[in-house]
Amino acid sequence: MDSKYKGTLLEKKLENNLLQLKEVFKDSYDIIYRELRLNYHGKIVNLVLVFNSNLVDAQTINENIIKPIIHFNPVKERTIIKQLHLDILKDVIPINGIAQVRDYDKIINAIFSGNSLMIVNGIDEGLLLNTKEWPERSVEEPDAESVVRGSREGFTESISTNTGLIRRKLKDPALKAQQLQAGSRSKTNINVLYMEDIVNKQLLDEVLSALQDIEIDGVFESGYVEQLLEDHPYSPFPQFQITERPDKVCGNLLEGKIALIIDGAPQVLILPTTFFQLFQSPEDYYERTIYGSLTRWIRYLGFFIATSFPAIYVALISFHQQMLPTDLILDLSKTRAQIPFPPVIEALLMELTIELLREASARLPKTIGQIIGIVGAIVIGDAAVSANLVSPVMVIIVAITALGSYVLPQYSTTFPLRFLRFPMILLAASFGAFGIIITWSWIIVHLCSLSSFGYPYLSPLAPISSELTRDAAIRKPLWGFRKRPQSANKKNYNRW
Amino acid sequence: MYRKHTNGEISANQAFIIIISIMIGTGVLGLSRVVSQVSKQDAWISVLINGILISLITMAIVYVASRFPQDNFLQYSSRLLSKPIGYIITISFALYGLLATATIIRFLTEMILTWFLPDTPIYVIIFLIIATSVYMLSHGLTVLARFNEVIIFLLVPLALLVAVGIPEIRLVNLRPIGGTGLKSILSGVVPSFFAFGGYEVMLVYYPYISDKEKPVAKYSMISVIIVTLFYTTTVISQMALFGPEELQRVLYPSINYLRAYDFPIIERMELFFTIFWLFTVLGTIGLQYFAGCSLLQSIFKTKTTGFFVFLQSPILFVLTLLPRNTPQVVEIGGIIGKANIFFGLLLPLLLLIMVFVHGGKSKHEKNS
Repeated sequence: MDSKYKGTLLEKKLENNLLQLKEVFKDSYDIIYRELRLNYHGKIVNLVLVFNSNLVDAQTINENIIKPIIHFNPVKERTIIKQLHLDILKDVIPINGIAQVRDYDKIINAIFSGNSLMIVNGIDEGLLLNTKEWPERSVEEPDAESVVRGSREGFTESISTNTGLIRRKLKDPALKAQQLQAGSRSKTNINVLYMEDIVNKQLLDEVLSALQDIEIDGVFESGYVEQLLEDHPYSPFPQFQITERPDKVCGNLLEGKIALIIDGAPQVLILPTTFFQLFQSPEDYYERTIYGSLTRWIRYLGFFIATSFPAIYVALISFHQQMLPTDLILDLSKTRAQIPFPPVIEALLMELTIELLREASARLPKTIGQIIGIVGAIVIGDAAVSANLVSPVMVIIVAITALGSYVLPQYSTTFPLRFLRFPMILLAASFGAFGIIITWSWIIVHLCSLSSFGYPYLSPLAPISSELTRDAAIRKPLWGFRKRPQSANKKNYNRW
Repeated sequence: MYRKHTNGEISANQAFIIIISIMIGTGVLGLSRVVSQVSKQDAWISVLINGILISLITMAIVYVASRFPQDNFLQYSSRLLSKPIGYIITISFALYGLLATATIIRFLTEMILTWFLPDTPIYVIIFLIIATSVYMLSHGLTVLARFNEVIIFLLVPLALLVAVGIPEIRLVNLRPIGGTGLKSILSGVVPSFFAFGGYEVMLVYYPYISDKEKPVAKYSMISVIIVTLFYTTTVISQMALFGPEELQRVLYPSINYLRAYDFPIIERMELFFTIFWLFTVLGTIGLQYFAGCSLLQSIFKTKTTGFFVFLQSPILFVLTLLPRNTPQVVEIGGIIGKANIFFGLLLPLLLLIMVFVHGGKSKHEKNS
């Protein structure tokens, strides 16, 4: 939606402009019209400064705009031009960002971004002055993506801070940052960052045109862009990488990826993304190669456990007792003798409880969250077992499953694990091991059919490539990373 | 890489994997019993000879198909054998693909019924298998090839399981090597031929390869050799464990072989084998099914194969339910195996001869 003021221009007469602006900003208390006067070679010239009082720095306005205007003296400035000109004003106002505008559309947008507008009687152009100042959260350690070793910097809500954090780590002019806007009403800025000589041009064009085609009234979080851009919106798997860490973004930029920074969101999107990237943490590269590779495998194991462990338990107990050693199956049946439910009900009950606890503790304030933990420990761990509602083995299974889903470096990537567990338990309860095999086939086929901006999601496993032994199955030593992933521009295949 | 292999194309690497995946299927279970009926303790030599023979046939298939890089199977077979014969062969090939798929699915179902779910109605299992393969194929050959790339890694534990019986084997069972005579060794090639079936789909899949400049013939030969080595070691180890006489009394030696040794934590090792094996067979089913659908697509010239995948699924369902019991399934499997001799041996040879008759040049090359 374009605003109705598109194409409306400033006029020469100050009163008309002021009337028009007051019409635009009607019933908005926070728009200030500061009238000023200027003695210019004996003539009094009227000026008006328009700004939004909540988005500007009052001191800048006082010291750098109003003060020089009031003290303006053409004789002292040695100005001999008789007619007041905007360039003369530009020379006396000590502000870093100054632009000339005529278009109301731009003016409205700029004022709501914290700029001040200066209009002068007799000139059909205005000056936009950069006076932005609003409270910002400082750069803090990202909560959702903490590492033991590595930088503690995390993105904030400010798009300029975020871009700066990345620029500071990559001092290369090839790092380009294009700014686009999305959302017809929110006019949210989106920065598209990429390495010009590494990124795949076709991919970049597609991303840029997809961003320009976004049709929505408001974009308030990176999730909006993610959902509007992804190839398969109904898939449980995330097709973009989300990160709060500048070092992770920089590493991905060097691999030819594109980063999208959305104003107001501390989460930055990285695309295209593959399934195996969900298992990568910046720490893998900071720690030595052996630990980097081993922690990867712990995460793959966690993924498998989080999706299948309860299902395997249900299948073993209800169908394939003969696969377990006799002693173990005797012990298991002893603990299960008092339980009134079949294993599938037991598993579903416990998994649902865990999901409830998880959701409750994620939304509550931190201090109350601890109480939820205690409630969970007592209710699940102890009372349910003493009351013979669930078997102690089931508690162990559920606990290991919950742990397994937390080993992934990104919180939002645990959603597919939580989601896939339930159908798998149901199929395991109906068809035993065969049900688990069928569910896994469906999952694998689904993963094979996914793509992230045209790039196969399961690569480098399917289609198979040498990257599998570089950064997926194992994390090679850093000198083994000379070649870039195939998603990058073919011309710059080597990193150094 | 970007937006490549999306329109049902596969890469040469994927073709390599497809051959391995389709060849290792249901045949591996009873292979050593079937072959040792004929060539006794020298069954492994028969299997090895057969493997060499098949790698040559695969080379011939790739050679024939590579003469016509722009054509699908219907087009180049019509060009070599005249249009009516080309159509007849394509239709019968598609029919064979459907019947072979039905046989494999029924065979798999029998296995699941015996091992996992003795009380579940058979049509439920068949429905689940067919639903899985339809889902697998509905995205086209690219996704199918990728699926096989993933599950090919499950063959590694499957191959490692051969080592399970090593503490128990007695190599004396293999002696005297070559003692059964050349004639019985060579006649043992025939039953082992069926266990290797499936490579003939390369006739259909070669045109889908997008990077034909890669040495596809070499790749396919290597993949056949890998399968041959896997099969030969399987037969050697099973022969060494059971001996030729006892082997005759075991229906599925590959399964019983795994019972030879007791593991500390896992009882019934063969069920684990089955889990890995099931994935492989699902891949085989998908590849065999899609080959038939692709042939039908070339006849009716539709845009996608997905239509035929859905169209054939109810037919497949009914076909799979037709046999009344396991012996009947084995019997039908034998008939399908005979048809395999035509499509796996005679057809490639016939096409190869016709290529030489035509001077080895395709129409396409002549025109340009």
